[in-house]
Amino acid sequence: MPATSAPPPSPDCASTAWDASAWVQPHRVHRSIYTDRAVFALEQERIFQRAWVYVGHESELPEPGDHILAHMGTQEIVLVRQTDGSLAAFENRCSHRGARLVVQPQGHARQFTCAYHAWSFQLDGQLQAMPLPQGYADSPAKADKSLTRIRQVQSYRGFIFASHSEQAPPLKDFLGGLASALDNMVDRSPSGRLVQTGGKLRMLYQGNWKLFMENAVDLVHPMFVHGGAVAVARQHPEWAAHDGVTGQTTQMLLANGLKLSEWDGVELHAHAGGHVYMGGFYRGGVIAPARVDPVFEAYTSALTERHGAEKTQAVLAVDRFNNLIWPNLSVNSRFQTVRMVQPLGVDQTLVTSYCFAMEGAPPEMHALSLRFLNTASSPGSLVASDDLEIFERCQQGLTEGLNDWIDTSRGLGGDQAQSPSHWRAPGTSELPIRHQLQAWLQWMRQPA
Amino acid sequence: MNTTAHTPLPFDATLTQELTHFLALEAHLLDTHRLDAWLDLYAEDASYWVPLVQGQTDPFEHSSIIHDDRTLLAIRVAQYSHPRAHARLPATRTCHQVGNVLVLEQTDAFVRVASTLTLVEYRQGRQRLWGALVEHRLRRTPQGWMIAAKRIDLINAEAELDGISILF
Repeated sequence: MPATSAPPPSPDCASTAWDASAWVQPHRVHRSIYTDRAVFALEQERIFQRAWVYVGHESELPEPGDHILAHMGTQEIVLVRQTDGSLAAFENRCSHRGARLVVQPQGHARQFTCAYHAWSFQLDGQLQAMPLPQGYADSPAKADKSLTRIRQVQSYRGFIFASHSEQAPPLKDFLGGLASALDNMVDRSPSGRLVQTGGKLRMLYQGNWKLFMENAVDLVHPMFVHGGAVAVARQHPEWAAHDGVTGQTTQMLLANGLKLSEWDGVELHAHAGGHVYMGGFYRGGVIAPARVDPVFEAYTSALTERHGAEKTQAVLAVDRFNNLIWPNLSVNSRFQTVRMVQPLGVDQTLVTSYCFAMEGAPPEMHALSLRFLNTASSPGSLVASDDLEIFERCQQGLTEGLNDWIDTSRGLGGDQAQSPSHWRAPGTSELPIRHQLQAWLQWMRQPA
Repeated sequence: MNTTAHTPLPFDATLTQELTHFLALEAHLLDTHRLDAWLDLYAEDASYWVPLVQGQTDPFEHSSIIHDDRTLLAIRVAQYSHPRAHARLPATRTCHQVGNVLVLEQTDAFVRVASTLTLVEYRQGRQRLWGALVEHRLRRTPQGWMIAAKRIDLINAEAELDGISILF
């Protein structure tokens, strides 16, 4: 790539003339979208307020008055179960002096009272009481002192998404081809119910949020980035057969060592909206060997009671690994885990990972999910810590330099349209990265 | 965690000195990058546990930052020493400061000992400071003390954490 091309102008949030398409081309992307603070600010407005952002799971707030803190990009919100059982969310800021209203990540309340001047608010965010109300008799702004409500909060099969745009498409349409990832996780539960339990792992890295989303569907990196862990696991293949934590972790380490030709056996799928997944993953025992043990038999038989034999087989046959619901969610339905991406700044990102217990399944199944999570998504993980290191090197490399462009062209000619909203490519293609960037472009080109 | 279990035994100078020396030795092996010798201190059935939340009682029904058995600990040590352990290149320097050594429980077979850890880590121009409450379960063997379990409660366990590529 020519290193001398003039950088496109920085976006001006007030301007409708800014053309993001200069920054994202079919075969390359300008480094500024990972490093420019003005771009980051515009992303907050045009993507994290307008798109459907994953904010939590219904099992985290089952009863009226239950609430959790969540984020739409850098915006902190309070998600609250209403007295009628519906969900609402508001900005976590007192309408008076702006103090953060709720500080506990999870809790239960009959009302919210600000610690500063005791303004109190109902569960729906309406002002309930304040000291000295007579003092506001002549205030021109007396009409509305309620909290700022997030315009849309909807749940799909227990997974809660929020958008601050009236124009957001219906949630089901937004999820499109990747609603199936959430369907499959729910369908794997013998009761149809998932419960978030077992804590939340929080990993921080000094890099742009898109680096994590793109890496999650890049199948060429594992053998290089995770090569050290692979090499160690290979010295002791017998460990993979161990019971318990050793076996499962060793298998996962080994799986990162597939040859490039083997990764091509994985199929990459891209659906409209930047949502992508990797399919064909567990074939031939990759990552998770077919299980024949009493726990799995008890689980399968409980599942068969719910679905019948045929559907049970179909549900369990879904062999996808990472399913990305763009912009901020990575789902693994096989192990009931999610990873939630939260931009903190243009060069700082928090990844929160957790898993669900399947109600009605043997408790050992939850232990497998926890171990999967620990191996893949803990700050102490041998796998994740090397990923985080690479994200930080990318951010450092992109922040200054002579070459403005990032190449995204691997496999460019091999993208196969399956339908107007569904493309497919072999596992080593950069289709999922190109595809996410096209979604980025679509949101960023929306008018102010 | 119940608080009674954390009430130290009356002071025993000889035992305390012996255990303080052992914990200092463990820290010294880490700080001088002798990871294989450090691993040799761990019994075959040992566990190395960094809980995710304060007072966590269980590593199987709740996520942990690290929960290794002896085999996984061996993998961790080998990976940390591998030339492609990117998060360890260049190698991290550490200074483990162990203090407040108190014996919590003693039988013929083992002792449980509490300590505090202040750890300074340096790598790639960046210094990080860790604090932790640590509990060792040490087994008496003819060859000396062996670590049967080590639990490290980071004071910021629930915080947003960068990748961890050190041993506590």
